[in-house]
Amino acid sequence: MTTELVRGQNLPLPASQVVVEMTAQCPVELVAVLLDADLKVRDDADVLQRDGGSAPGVTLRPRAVEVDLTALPDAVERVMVTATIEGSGVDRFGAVAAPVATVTSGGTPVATFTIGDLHTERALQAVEIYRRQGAWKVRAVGQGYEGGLDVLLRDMGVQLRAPIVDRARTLLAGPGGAPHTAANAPTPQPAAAEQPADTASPFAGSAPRPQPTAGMSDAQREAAALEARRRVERLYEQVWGIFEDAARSAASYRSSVEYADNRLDNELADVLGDPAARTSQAGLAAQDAARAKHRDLVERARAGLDKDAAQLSAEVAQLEPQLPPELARWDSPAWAAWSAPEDVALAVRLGDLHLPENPQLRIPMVLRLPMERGLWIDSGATGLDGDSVSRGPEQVRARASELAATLVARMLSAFPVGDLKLHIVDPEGKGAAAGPFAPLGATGLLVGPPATTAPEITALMSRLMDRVELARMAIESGATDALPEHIDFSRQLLVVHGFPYGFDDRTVTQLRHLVEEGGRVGVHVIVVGGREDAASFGPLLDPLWRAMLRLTPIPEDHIADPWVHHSWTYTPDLPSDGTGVTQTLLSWVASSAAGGS
Amino acid sequence: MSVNMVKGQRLSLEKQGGGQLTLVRMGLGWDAVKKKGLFGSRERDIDLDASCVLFADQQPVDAVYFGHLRSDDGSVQHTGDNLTGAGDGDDESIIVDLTRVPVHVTQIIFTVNSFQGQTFQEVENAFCRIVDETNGQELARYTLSGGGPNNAQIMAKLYRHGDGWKMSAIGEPANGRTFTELMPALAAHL
Repeated sequence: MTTELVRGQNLPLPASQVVVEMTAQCPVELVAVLLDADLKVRDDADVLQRDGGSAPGVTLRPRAVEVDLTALPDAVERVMVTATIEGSGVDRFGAVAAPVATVTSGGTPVATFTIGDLHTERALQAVEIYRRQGAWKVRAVGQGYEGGLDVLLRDMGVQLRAPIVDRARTLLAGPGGAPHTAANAPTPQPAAAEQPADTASPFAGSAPRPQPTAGMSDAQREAAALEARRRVERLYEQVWGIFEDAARSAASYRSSVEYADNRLDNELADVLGDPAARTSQAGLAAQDAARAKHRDLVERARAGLDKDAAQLSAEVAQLEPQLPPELARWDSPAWAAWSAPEDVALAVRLGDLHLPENPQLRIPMVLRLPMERGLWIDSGATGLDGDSVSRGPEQVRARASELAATLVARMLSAFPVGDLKLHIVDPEGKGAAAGPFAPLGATGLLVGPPATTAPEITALMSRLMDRVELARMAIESGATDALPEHIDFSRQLLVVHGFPYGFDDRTVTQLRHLVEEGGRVGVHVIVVGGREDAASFGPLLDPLWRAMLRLTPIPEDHIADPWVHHSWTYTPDLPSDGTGVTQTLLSWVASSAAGGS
Repeated sequence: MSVNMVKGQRLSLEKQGGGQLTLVRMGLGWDAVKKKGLFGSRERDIDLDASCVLFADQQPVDAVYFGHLRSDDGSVQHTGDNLTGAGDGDDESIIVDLTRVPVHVTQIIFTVNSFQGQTFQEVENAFCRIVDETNGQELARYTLSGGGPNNAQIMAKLYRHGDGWKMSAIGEPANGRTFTELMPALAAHL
């Protein structure tokens, strides 16, 4: 069994043959450094590179360091495995997915360490193998160096560093550079490399990346796609696992606190029920004792909760940098490696969830694709503690439109180009809601101009209803190839802004039908609106609201987990620059559409 | 080395090399009724159910049984209902993560009920055992066969002792087809 190490964690090594292997999305050059008890090299000869230097027991491979612990001199207390990307064309570890170190001992994999949370670093101490009371252990270090290999080596007391750094650069840049592993297909990063290190936006590049699988055979491409999909499935499962553990940990804490509160109430009631005991020495002592028991139980429960939260936060911190763009936050560097998917993505991210006990533990909220339920973005949301009052209803409405636009862009980027087509209804804004989708231009991904009048809404609803009915009938009768040719059977996404403005009883009923039946036959609905605005429709709309997953443009505690039904606070993920990143992403989608057709 | 427990015996749940147990499994096994003779098909299957109740001081706060397979806090997990006793080894198991049991829970009592109401006289080769789930080692075993005309059995109790846990073999016959009917009988063992 392999252990997923987190920063700082150590593990005993079962055998004296140890291999540390690095995989990364770009070429990296490994350098091994032998250190004494003071964490310093004895002299410069303790730095080992490919084709440079040698020491008993240590062998450098293109992407692995092999160590025979029995052959190491006694004065060597630790072997530090370091890596640099200088010379690779990528200028910082933050521009690519987190590198992974794999530790094998005696031929058996013992640990992996995903070195996440790297930003402008150009070199890093990955893992160390060290002596501890006569036994050898491995520790996940993960310390990055902005100043690169030179500064890293200086810290270890290396004198003549330039030749070492130059050799690493030459090896990386040259034809003999480290090959990539199939599982981590290379993603060329020319645009990222040209960016100054401190401009962090992953959307700084101007064009979508070429398919990472370009140049592979069909079989290789298929295998790579399958492997990538499995990886995302594991991450998706991990998100749900962390979510469940967090929910149960909170349930444990809350039940302990509730029990402690009840017990204190009962014990105090017993004491206070006897008027004589209220002020007697014994009575006062009993009250103190009851309060002390309460405090003790609550403190122990809190300690357990904090311990769990620390563990789960570490898991989230490790998970986040590994998430593919559609599951990552807008500020994730993963977006820099976006390319149009060949299959629909497993899920998209809707935002984050947290509980009041642990505001710092944020769990990614993800939605499985293709989505079965409609989404309702509540522009009349009140938020937490009068949040909407302080912001003003207009700002909440504006954020609702923004959330809709960013989620739609995210979905378009998660489907193969052309597989998801967009329809916009926006009578209230006279079609302004289509503005962010201008980069789609003539791709056909945005179908027609937005519907802005009642007749246009009626016509659009009828078209989509026809599609749902025909698809449903065809599926039920098993005659899917007998469908009329004039109907577009790619998936359709209908986004209604300012609901229910422009709708009448008939189109409202049709919308409800699309929300309830459409998901199964490829018609998906996002409604932006407030319940108050739709009050005139009366109870007609209640089933519509209930059928959709409600999202709020400002944080609100209305999402229940499926295990213990806590109320989780949903926080939408809105890009810091409004819809700027959406524009960039959509221009990438559009140019993929142009290139792919 | 496994201990064959007798009624009333107590067992400290410390690892052999010192340290406390973290994950234990209470396994329950029995054999399907043998189909014998001409009218063997009239024999009913025996459906034993393993359950456990979590207590804070003397108050029941949660229960894990075939209708609620996991305690809300996630520390106690039932592996699922077996309706016939078919298959070798443990037919039903309840896994307890001792490190995650909420701090106010001080005792966990394990029970076995015969859901169809047959008595333990009709059950063959029934046993309950506690296993260190981290390494599969059996810590204690407790045989039920040769039971009386009762249709339930209060098997054992896990309880906090200092920073760790102890197990106590109870082995009291009782009557009740589900654990809720056993609650009065459980009170005597808190």
